[in-house]
Amino acid sequence: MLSSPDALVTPAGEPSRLSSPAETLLGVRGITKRFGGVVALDGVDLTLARGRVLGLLGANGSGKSTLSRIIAGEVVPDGGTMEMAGAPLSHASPQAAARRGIIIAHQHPSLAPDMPVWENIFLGAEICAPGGFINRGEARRRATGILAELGSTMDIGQPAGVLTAAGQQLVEIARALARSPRLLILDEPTAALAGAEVAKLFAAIRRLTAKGIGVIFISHRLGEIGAICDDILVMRNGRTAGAWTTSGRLDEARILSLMTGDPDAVLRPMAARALGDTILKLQGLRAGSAVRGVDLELRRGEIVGLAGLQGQGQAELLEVIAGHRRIDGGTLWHRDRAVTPSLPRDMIRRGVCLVPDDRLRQGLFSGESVGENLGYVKIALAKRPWTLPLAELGQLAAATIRRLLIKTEGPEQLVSALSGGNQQKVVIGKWLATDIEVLLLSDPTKGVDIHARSEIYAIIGELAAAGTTALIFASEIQELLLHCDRILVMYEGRIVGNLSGAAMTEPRIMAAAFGRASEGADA
Amino acid sequence: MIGSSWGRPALLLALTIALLVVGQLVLPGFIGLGQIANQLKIAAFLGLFGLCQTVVIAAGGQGLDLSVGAIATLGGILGAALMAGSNAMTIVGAVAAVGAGLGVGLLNGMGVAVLGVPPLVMTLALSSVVDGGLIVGVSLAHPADAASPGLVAIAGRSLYGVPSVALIWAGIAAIAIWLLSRSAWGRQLCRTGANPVTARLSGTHTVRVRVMAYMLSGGVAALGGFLLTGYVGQAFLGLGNAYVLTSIVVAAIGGVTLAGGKAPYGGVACAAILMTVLVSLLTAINMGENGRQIIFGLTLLVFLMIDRRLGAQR
Repeated sequence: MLSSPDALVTPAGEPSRLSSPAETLLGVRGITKRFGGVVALDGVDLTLARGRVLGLLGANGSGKSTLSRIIAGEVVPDGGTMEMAGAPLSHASPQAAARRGIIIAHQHPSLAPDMPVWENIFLGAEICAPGGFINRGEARRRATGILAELGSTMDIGQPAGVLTAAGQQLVEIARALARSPRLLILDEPTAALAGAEVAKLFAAIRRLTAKGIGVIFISHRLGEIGAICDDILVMRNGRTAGAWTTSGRLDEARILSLMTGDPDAVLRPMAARALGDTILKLQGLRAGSAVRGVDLELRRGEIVGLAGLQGQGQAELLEVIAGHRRIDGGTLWHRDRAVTPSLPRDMIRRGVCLVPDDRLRQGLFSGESVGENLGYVKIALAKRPWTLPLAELGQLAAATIRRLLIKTEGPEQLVSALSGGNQQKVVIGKWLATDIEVLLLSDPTKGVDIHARSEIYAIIGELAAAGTTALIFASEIQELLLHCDRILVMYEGRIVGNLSGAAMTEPRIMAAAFGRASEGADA
Repeated sequence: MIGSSWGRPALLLALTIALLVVGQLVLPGFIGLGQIANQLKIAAFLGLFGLCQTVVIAAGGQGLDLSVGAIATLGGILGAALMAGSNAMTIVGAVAAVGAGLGVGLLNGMGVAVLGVPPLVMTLALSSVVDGGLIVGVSLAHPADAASPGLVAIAGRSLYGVPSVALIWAGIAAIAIWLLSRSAWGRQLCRTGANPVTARLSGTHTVRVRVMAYMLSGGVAALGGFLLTGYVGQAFLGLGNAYVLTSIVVAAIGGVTLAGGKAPYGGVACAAILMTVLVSLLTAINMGENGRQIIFGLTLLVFLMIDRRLGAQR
């Protein structure tokens, strides 16, 4: 299976349409891709020359991952053309792409946890001795060699599952290198790596490009992009927002303005809202590897947004406050009392309620009716658990359906039969059974249509007017800009920006989200 | 309709009546009053152990209690040892038996809900420990093993033609049905079984609910073993063994889905009666143990397939 790059040359007799086939490795023209009604890619062009590193940048959902997965044969595009070294590329599978020398190393490696490191590296590309037997000695020797190039001296006999996130990332990269790529796609390879490991990875990338191999490098870290990339491509909303060749220094302002599209617009005049006392306060709160020392303060009746790139600890932070994750350090104050919840019940009793990330698995009992779901909080907190106040529960469900305008045939209807937006209203509505002081919402409009989205924010606004504090994590910044009084930005498990009023602009949020420029921050 | 709360018991009762009619046709006298009373007695024990499984399976997380047999034996032997044949001490024996059952159930529940040991492993392990402990205890202490005359009267006799064990079972079943379907705790139990994450995030103390489920199972199993001692006349090692698997079978036939989240005890009680009648009919027509096992297994399979089809339609 393992062959040298020379074995993968263009089929003979295929005339190239590109002017300099020797230089251009990959040419992508007008790629489109829809997922259902969502346009992920809307005519993207990309050109990569041999021996160069292309930095692919963009906010969450801009289409970088989809584009790289299309190039790697994991996703079939709806339209557009691709050429590899002058020959058309129309692979429908990762295996076909690998045969042309296109290999991707994913951000979240899917290694076989029980298999040793060396077997993982050659899984699916086994080195075979005559007769079809795996040549263990050769495989082990090469695995050690590749890992050494990446600066790692890990024991290749240990199962991959025991490795740290960084170790697993290195194995994933080694896996890609073992397949002798002509084009290597690295999807956020450094997210789990420490500084020294990044330096060694970059050295390895330089050795590859010296051999004429092309690299597509996806990262959110602008510093790394500047250090390793020869060319830049910025994506926004499934389109190419800009592409240029770097000349040493990286124009960060240009990148941020291209990513957000609207550099200077202040989107929302702050509606002055009378704020009450501090209701929740976090000091140096830590939990696991996701929440690494968060300070924040929430006041009565405030709507606060939680922004940041994907996976910076936002969802986890909400779970910690809700009592669903254990606190490892720091203090959580509710009013003027330090609390250490051991389960969500402890916080719910204090009026701190979570609308979780995954509606169907964490927020609802999908096999039960709308009424059953709306009444459950009352049942869970029942003071006399041997009774069941059916009449009261019925009234509660009917009142909640009316108040939140939940579109349903009635409380008897199965909750799974509702639309996503109405399911989300049920998840919010079930908390109306208690006195909500703080409502924590984790991506509440995920998979919800525009109309229901505005209704959900209207409900949040109504609750806030009545004194409830809302802390909302949403992946779309626009949404937060429109509905929040204040936006906190998270980066690598900490709050790095606290923006309000005129400072609450998309470029500033993006800058903070990339761990850059904390002007306007007073956190 | 078989899946709804009344459909299942109705179907099971209809099948029971059909079996009784077939029995009467094949063997005139099969529907004698004495016969029916006797079958109710046997069904009462099966139904009590079925309640244990109903509660722990409903609690979810692959819930199962393989220690009901050992706990029943413990309840019987401990109860017999304490009452030592005296009527006055019968109540003491009963309380001690149930207490011991609650204790073993507490250990089961802690292992499952706090330490995260799979229920199959946890209850099987404790079952071995209890069984082994009883062998050692009995061989060292040689305790009294006879049921008191009072207990024999309660467990073996009838009141106006109705066996008193069946009356006790009816009382417990009524409480159980109310607790499981008409109380907040029952809802907490079923929702914890159906989706422990949502239940926890909605304010349920899921660990406590699950521990209580295993305690309830242990307490009922020990009570079953204590009554069984009265029914048989004496306690002995292995007293409850026959009920470990049959209790799971009646729970499944009664409509408890092994995935958790459902506790239809009415159906389980009817299933206990149906299976008792089925076994006695098969015995009456001289079918051997092997044949009975085959029919038992096939009945279970048929009901599980019905459940799958209904589940797929929803």
